[in-house]
Amino acid sequence: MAPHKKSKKSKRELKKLKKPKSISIVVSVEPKAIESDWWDTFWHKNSSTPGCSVPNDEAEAFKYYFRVSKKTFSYICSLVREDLISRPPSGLINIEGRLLSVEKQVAIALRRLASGESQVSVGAAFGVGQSTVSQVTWRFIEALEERAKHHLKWPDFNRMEEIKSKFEASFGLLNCCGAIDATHIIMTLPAVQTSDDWCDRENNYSMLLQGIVDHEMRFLDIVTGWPGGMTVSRLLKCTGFFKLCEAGERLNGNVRSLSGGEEIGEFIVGGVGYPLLPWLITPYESNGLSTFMSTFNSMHEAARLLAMRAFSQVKGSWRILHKVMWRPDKQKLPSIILVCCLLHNIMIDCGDNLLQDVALPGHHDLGYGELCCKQVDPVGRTQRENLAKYLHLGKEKAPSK
Amino acid sequence: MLCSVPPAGKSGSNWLDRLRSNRGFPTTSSDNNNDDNNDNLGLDHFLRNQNPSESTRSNSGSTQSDQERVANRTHEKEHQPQQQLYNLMSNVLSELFFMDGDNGNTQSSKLSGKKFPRKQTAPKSLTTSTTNNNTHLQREEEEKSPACTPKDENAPTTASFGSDNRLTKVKEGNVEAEEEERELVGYSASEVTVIDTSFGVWKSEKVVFRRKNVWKVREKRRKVRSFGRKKRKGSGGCDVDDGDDEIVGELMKKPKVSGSESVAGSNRGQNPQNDLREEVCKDTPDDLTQVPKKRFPFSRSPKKSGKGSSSVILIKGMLSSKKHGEKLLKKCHEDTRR
Repeated sequence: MAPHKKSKKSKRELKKLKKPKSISIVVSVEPKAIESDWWDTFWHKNSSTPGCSVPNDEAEAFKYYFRVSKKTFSYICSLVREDLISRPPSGLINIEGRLLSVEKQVAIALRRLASGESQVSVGAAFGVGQSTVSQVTWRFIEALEERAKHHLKWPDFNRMEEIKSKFEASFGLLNCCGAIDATHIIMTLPAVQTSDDWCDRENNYSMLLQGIVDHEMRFLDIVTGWPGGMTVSRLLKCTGFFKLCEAGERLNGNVRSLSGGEEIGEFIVGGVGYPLLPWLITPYESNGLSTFMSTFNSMHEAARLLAMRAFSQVKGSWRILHKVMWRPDKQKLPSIILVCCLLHNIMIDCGDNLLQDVALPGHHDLGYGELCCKQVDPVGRTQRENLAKYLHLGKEKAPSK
Repeated sequence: MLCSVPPAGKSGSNWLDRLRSNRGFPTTSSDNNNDDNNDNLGLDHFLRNQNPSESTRSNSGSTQSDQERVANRTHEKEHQPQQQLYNLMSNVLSELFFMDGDNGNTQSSKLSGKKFPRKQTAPKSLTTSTTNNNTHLQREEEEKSPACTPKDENAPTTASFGSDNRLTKVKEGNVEAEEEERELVGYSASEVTVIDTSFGVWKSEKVVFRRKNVWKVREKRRKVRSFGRKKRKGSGGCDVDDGDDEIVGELMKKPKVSGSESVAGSNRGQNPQNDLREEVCKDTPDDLTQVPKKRFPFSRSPKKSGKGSSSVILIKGMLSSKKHGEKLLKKCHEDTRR
């Protein structure tokens, strides 16, 4: 366990350096000192936990525990600081009687979301009680879902043009604005709350999360809260995104014209579980595909993989979503899901590398086969034909804008 | 409580006494007199003619104590100057309550002998024209929120208030809400909190109704926590109603109201599905007569009566009460159908 000894040393050094700083942070209103050397304490306490492959490097270890870099962590703290300070916690002191700093509160919340471990375990790691973890986590979620909204928004015109060009460059899909997918957040429910509505086709109680991502796996739009008993096609129809698209208020940007006069409007790509619509293109069914259909399907799949990977990343990074949640408050669960998506976007926006080893190794919705939606819109079919044709021609002629 | 009082009444009082003692009817007098057409239909006018001695105290009518009223009413019985008008008002009131007369019998036969509350399931609202502000207020609510008036297919539709087309509006709303309610028979209901970043407000409360592959979604309106405070959302409920994997579902927008005024009664009444589901499930009264018992303390709270503003307030409360009773009746109907 040599690495641990080393880490202890560095920890002590860091402690010496940080202690004077910590005193200056103390809020004058509060009589008790605020704990700010939480990271040293935490790392020291938890790095030697048997069975954990904690990286030796401090920065890596930090990301191991909290998924985000220290820089992003500071940014997140700055987002929620006001909310966490302005409402002084009543019982949020650790066992030594010191107030929890904003950083420690954020760390507790992030650790709870990232590990999905029980509140007791997370509390033990930080030297706080279970109820403190519960309170801190919820307050953090409330604050972040309010303060980080700007990290999850539908792109403006310029940004959308950029996204479309990236999709076109990567997959040859003209006017593609994103990829859509959905996943189940599995939970257990108290006997009194059990309802077939929440029971999905795999006999799990679950809540749905649907997201549309861009070429960087950033969520552009999410919907959550709907019962797992819904199919994704039903879910789609319940969403504001569907309504906006059907009303022509979204994905209504530039139409691209092909050399033959065919037109391709803006669209997103989705799996076979979704209906084929003018603005939502699904792959061809796999029976008796022609060459150009196969080409289209492979490109389509590659683009759609972005959404699937995004969900694997979110569920892997924020394991609270992947573990079977034990009797969650169904009113609060959507907020937890949203905050995990916001954190995912914040990481991308802050330039953090999404850790591939953290992502789920398999499919994000393991065990759930895709139900094929038979709904086909004629205009959507034409749009898909045009796209396939364009791909097949190998972009021989540059399309006019 | 009203329902705990035997129908025969105590100490010689009858339903009208009790109604009046509960200040259940607007007793404004001067306003009514100013109206051209409807003044003859006012309760006060009616009661004054029943008991001239009471009419001398016209202005204090709304503040007199219950005891006084009961006492006066026993005295009134001796005078019967306008039998025709009395019959007219009896008709009006019989639409508010099950009475010993023909209406009650009809209803009871329809209910196949089951117990039912003394209040009518779908009484006509009192929309007689007055310049009283509170009455106007209530009328606005009725106009804006058709669902706040209870609906029942068995409801008497004859209105004796003249040619006020508001009644037809209310009736249309009733039919609509009634159809919706009928549609939801056999559906399971779940309350969901949805976060949808496509909407301006990300978080919303909805009620999901499901029967196999058919899903229906309704906006969940918040329950009023404090009396008289508006909590209703401006937008109407949206329906998503079709089976899975079918043709694109039409997103039907229910014509809802965005009234500027609201009271607890109308808010409750506006939420037929929610109220139906929640209250029936939670309360599950064994006996329908418990419903008014539960409601009336609310409308007769000392605070309200202490204000002495207008007896219309009670009518609002009664509307909500009878609404509740009506819902339970509806449930009763459903049960009998199954």
